[in-house]
Amino acid sequence: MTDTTTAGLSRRTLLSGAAFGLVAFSAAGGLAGCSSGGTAATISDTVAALPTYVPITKGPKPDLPGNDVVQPVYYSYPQDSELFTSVTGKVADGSKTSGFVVTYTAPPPADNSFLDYIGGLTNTEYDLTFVPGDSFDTKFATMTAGNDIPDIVEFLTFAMPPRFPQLLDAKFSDLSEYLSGDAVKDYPNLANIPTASWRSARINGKIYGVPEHRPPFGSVMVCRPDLIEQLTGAAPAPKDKDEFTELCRAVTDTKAGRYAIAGGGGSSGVDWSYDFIGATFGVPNQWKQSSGGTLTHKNETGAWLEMLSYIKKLWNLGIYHPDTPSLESAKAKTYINNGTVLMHLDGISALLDVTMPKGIVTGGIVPFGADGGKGANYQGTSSFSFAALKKTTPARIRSQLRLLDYLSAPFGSREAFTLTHGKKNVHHTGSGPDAVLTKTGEQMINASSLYRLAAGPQVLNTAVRIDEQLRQSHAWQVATQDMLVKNPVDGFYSPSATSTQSANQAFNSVCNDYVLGRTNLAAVKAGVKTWTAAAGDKMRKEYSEAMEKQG
Amino acid sequence: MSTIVRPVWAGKPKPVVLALKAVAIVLILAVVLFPFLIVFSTSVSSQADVTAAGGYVVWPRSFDLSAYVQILSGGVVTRAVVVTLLVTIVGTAISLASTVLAAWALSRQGSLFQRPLLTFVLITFLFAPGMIPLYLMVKQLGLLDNYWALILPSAFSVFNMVVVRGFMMSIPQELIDSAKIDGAGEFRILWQMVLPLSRAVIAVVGLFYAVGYWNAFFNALLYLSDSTKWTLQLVLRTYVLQGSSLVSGAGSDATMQPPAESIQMAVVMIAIIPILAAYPLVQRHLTKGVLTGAVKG
Repeated sequence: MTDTTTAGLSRRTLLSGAAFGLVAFSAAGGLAGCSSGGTAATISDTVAALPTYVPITKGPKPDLPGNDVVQPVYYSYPQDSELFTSVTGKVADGSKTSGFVVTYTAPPPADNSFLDYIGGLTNTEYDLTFVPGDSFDTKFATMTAGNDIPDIVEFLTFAMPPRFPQLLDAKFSDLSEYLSGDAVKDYPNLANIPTASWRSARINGKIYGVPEHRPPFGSVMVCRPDLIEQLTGAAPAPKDKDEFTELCRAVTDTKAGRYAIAGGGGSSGVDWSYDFIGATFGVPNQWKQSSGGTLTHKNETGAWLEMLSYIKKLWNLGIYHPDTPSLESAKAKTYINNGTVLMHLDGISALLDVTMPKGIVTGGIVPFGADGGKGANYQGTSSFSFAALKKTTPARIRSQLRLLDYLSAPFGSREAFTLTHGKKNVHHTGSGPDAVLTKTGEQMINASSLYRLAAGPQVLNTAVRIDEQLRQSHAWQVATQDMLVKNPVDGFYSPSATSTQSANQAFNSVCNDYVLGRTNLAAVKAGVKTWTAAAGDKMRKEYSEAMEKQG
Repeated sequence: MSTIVRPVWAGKPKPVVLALKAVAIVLILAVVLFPFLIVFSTSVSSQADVTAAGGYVVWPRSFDLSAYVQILSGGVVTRAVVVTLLVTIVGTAISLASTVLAAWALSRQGSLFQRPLLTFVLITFLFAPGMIPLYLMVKQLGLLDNYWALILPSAFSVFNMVVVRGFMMSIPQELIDSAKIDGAGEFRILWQMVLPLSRAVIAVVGLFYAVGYWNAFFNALLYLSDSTKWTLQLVLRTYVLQGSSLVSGAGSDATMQPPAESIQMAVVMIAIIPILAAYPLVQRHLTKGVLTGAVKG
């Protein structure tokens, strides 16, 4: 990490550092109230074209096919002979690479032979700073204030700091000329990342990073098809809201402590499986854009009120687990595992939970229209995060992009195998489908979090064979791929959107009160007006301006 | 003949009252111990037990130490334990030394610059440094990624100094004067008279400091970018956040891993055991030390 600060601690150093650090500070919400009142982002007039998608078609044939939406399935790892080389020539320029990554694992041991090994292959030495998932903003704010920004920083696409465009503009490299359009073809593995994933890395019209790909499905109503079939005599396949209500009633037995649905409570409020039930009722994916270009937020639609009334009905029928208002997601998973609850909204990776007790296979409810029409499924951001490069020279940028290209090697390539299995007889033994991590490999590879800097597009493959779950997950993706509903503001930036927490919480609270019978629909309507005045109008204005300028 | 009326609390309690008191104490004890029981039971439970119990286990049906094995294998947690122990021991020693010396000097009326120094110290109660200025200060001192960054910024607590000073001010001036007449210097008075008399308050303040260092999370997060130097709380937090060890790497058999709830509760056990062990050692001083100055104006 380069230290570019002055030797002494002058008042100016202190104040300027503190000021810039505060700009980046958001987690504690200490400045949330101020950020919206500060300088608004200057919206760029030019918009860089997203990188051209050039899928890599060579490599092992999947067991079940995929496309740019559906993930291909590989029941096991391919044989060595099927692997292909995705990167040739020198990778990095030989200098050290510092990185800042969010981690959800314990840190690696002190002598990390895996990072050393990969460093040797990619011609660099890694110096990674890890930060626990919920402490990113605090740590990043101080590092920014101290001018200690590492070469590559991972930004979570679902938790961008306030005044993000200004921060990127001041401290990070605009990668548009290197990645926009056909320019990305210089980095074949990066060109293999589906277009949708790049949208979150294009901020204020400029491409600022390399995305970590995720499939575009926002969430899935995870269910226990085995238990549902046992209780109802049929696989769960409701076609409208009445059938869904009937299904929920049939599987709920409050005396036996069994409930159809578990919502979830958290710091941001209660989630009554809003995304699944909302899509059913035609509630937009966050925002809806009329043909005239006017934006309407989901809270402001009549469909939201309809959905809320339906949820209230389900709650009154005793279909929701009574702990829903305060239920942690981890506990909901346990309830799914032990059959206390039969449906729970979760991320699609929940369908591949390899820690689930043996013999249990979960599936996903295919969305449906409340009135029996076509179902809808909210499209996610198609990325978890993106890796931005600190401002540096063009030569260094190219070197770092070559490095990210290597780290983005697709499944089925030799590089991807190396990145997930390390060195033979040190980090793994065996080969192909029989490759097994050694103790050293288990301790170092995942904990090194190198995949947080960049990784190839995700496929459906697990270390432990869970063929039926892979099949279920793939079948659900195939069934819902045509139901995806895009958020029209996805890829556009609103400074106010990062400071709506209190308004959202207040609105969520009113909705909960209505569902729980503590207030009436008129209060919810009043809550909509309050939310619109406090947050909705500002966001609408900012998004509309950005969309108008950037198309 | 007048009857001697004794207050209620001075009388011999009736058996019913005694029984009610016993029940109340047992209930309070149960309320305190029940969470510990859940934490311990869940930490030694298997996946099947955790699933059957719906998350947290009250009474384990099996005794499975795999969560502890998982956490303590690989050396990351054990290294963090050693680091945290050293920081706690060294930090507590430095903190106690600085606090006692400052408290003694500021408790003596008429010592050099006593008033202005006391005002200067007390004013930090009102104006605490912000996170970023403190970070910049630590950086300029060259302490980033250095264990001293975990000790020096929090080495001196004004609150603790005020507590110790209050205790020392209650030591009779006559004792100090007689020692001076016998030829004792300031340091000897402090070492041989004041410190033994202040054992209670020093034990309590020492416990405060030790718990603070042991639980140090935020300073470690800010100042230690090198994860090999992370303290225990920072490492354990990663386990708590996601049951992180379950996010298995390719080729490892995640189905053999202990359940996330067991790992989280094992983490809690590891974090609290040292403090639970240290607490009884200072318990007899605790009441006296904490109440120091409570009845003084």
